Parts: sequence; C-alpha cells; structure tokens
Amino acid sequence: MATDHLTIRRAIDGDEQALRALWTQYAPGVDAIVRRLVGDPDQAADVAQEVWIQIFRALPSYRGDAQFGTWAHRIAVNRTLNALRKLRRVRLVETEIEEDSALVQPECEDRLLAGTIDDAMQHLAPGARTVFVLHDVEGYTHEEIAAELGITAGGSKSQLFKARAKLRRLLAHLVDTPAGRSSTHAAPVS
Amino acid sequence: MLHLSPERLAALADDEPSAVEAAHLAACPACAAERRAGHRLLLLARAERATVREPLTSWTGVLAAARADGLVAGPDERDARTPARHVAPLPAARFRRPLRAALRRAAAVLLLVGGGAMVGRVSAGETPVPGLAVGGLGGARADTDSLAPAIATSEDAMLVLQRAERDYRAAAAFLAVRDTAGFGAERPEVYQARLAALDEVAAVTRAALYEAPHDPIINQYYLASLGAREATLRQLGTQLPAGTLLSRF
Repeated sequence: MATDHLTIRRAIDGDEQALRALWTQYAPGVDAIVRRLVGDPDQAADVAQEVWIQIFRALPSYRGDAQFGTWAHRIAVNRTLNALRKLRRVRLVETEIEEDSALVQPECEDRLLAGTIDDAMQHLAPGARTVFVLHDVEGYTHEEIAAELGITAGGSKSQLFKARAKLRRLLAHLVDTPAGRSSTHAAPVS
Repeated sequence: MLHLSPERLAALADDEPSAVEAAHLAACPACAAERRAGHRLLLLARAERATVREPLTSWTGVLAAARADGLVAGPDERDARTPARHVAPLPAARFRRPLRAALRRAAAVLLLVGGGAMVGRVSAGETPVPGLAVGGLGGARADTDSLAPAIATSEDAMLVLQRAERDYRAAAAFLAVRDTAGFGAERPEVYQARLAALDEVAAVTRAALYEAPHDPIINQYYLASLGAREATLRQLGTQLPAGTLLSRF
C-alpha cells in the first residue's frame, strides 16, 4: 500500500499521529529485516528502535524516488549493518565463516535439524547470516553486498554458498526428496 | 563416481551448470536431488521475506525515543518549526508549485464561503448550523474532542470525513433553501461571483484529483466545493427577478 505524501509531510513536521501511521504500516517489514540480520531477539529489538529513529530523522530527505517502504527498508539494512559492526559481528566475517564452515562437523549438524528457515539462520555465523539474508531473502546482488560489507563480490559468493550448504543440511527434512543422496558422498568433480 | 561439491551444488541453486556439470547432473540422481534441494532452500528463503511476524518494537518505545530525540512536536512547537522542516520538498511532480498555490486559493475560498456563513450566524446569536445543538464555538470544540478517541484507524478517519462531508452538504442545502438570516439579502451578482470562484475551486481540485485520486483532503475540498456550488445555485435561483431563468452555471 502506498503511503500518501500528506502523511509524510505531517510526519516531517513531528505530527505524532503521522509518525505512528508510518510505524504501523511499515514496522512488520522493517522489524523483520532487523530480526533476520541481528538474530538475537533482545539485540534486534534495540537495533529496530534505533532504526525507526533513524527513519524519522531521515524523513526530510525522502524525495519519493522509490516507494516509501523500499526507502525505509534500505535505511533499516544500512542502520542494522552499522549496528552489527559496532557489535563486532561482521568485522571478522571471513574468519568466522571458516571457523563455522559447513564442512567441519557434518555429523553433529545433521542431528541438529531446524524447524524453520528462520530458526536455521540462527545457527549461521553472523557474517554468513548477513550475506544469506541480503542475497537470498532480500534480493541484493553480490556487488551490492560487497559494497555494504566492505568485502569482495567473490567473498560474498563464497560465504553465501557455504551458508546455503549448511542451511540445506539443517533443513533437510524440508528440502530433501526421497531420492536425496547420502551425506557420505562428498568427493568433488574435478 | 565423483560428485559435485556441496558448495558448488549450493551455487547451482540459482546458477547454470557448466557442460561437464550438466552431464554429471544428468547422470547422477544424487547430485540432481541435491540441486533440487538447493532450489527448495532458495524458495524457502524467498518466501521468508513475505513472512509477517510480530514487530520487535512497540509504538510506546519508539515514541519515547522519538520524543527524546526531538522528533515529535507539541502543537505550538509544530507550528513554529514547520517552515524550517519544509526545506527538503517532496517530489516536484506530485506537488507542483502552481497546484499548491491553487489549492491554497481553493482552501481560502472555501474557508471564506463556509466559515463566513458560520461566523455570521454565530455573531448573529444563532447556532452555526440550524438544528445543530451545540453551545457556540466552545461547544463545537468539545464535540470535536469527544469524537477524537473514536478514530483509531485510517478507515475510521475516512468514515468521519465522509460523514462530515455529507453533513456539510446537507447543512449547505438546508441554509440555501430555508435560511434567510445570513444569505438571503444578497444581490444576484454576489452569488454569481461566488459561483465563478467555486467553479475555479472545483476545477483546480478536480485537476488535483487526477494526480492524487485517493487523497482525502483533496477529495474533501472537491466535494465541499460542489456542495457549496449547489447551495449557491439554489440561493441565486431565489434572488433572480421573476421570469428569469438560469441559462448557465
């Protein structure tokens, strides 16, 4: 649903009802992306509140080039990534993903099935979760992710594929078919 | 048989295989199934975006933070800082300056026509609208305040606007036909000038509706101008010399 410009103008003027109308309409989407990126519910709630203040602060810069929801979503992603950097969750992405590699302990992970993809994402390292959420859930390109995270597009791809491989095992009961292969086959094609 | 690596199979969820990989996938049911699982995982991820969950934030918390940040204005503060916060304009295509100016003129005309009639009646010691049982302007404000808690959603607000618009038109029609205290003594030229002004208002607001067809404020102005025009036409009809008929408007 489109947001009428009168509501935005009133919100810029500090009208409480208009601000609340924006929050009511867009909180489900904005809070959802924060929750996915941050993972921890308590930290996510704090970040989400910061995101909303940032959205309200930035209202005068909204020029209507995109849907308001898209604009707010972009602010939410940027602000959340900044918050994650402060929490030192993204800074060691490469190290963390190697330590949390999909190939390290397959037997243990195979026994740890997640109920939903949301649950499964909580088992990813923060950096891998960020790349997976941005690419596969939010539809960012690897180039956009690289720019956001300060890594290379190749690094983004590498992390994404490892994250997918891990999630695929955690969600085996949801994505496997009876013809699915045994986990003992792992030798690559040369 | 050499299988594709788990990471390569994960990549193939949304990537095309090379010729060698395609040949392997065609011949290896296990890797083909693994690729299908990757597809399903991708579908789950894309579906996750549409999943709605309870918001992390509460309006109470966000409002408190916004207040602390100076983003929520009180009534006086909002009026005082409105010009400064309008430095960054909204899209020019949606709010062209001539249109805004015309809308301001339209609002001014409506206020003069409708508000003038109401003030005239009140200053003459009568109620703003015949049959409306309120105790003067103070009573009207109290009545408005009593309506406020009933507006909890946009739908409520729209219903109130529609009801107010119906009431306004009914009151204007009533005044046009039955009231002679504030309107009846004017000359036909006064009504004709008013009609011309209302026609301009209607034309401007109609044009505005092409750009913002769902905007409740513009709709309100448009419908109110039509109501006022209709009332003025009726009043004009009562003031024309006997045997004279309206040929236009």
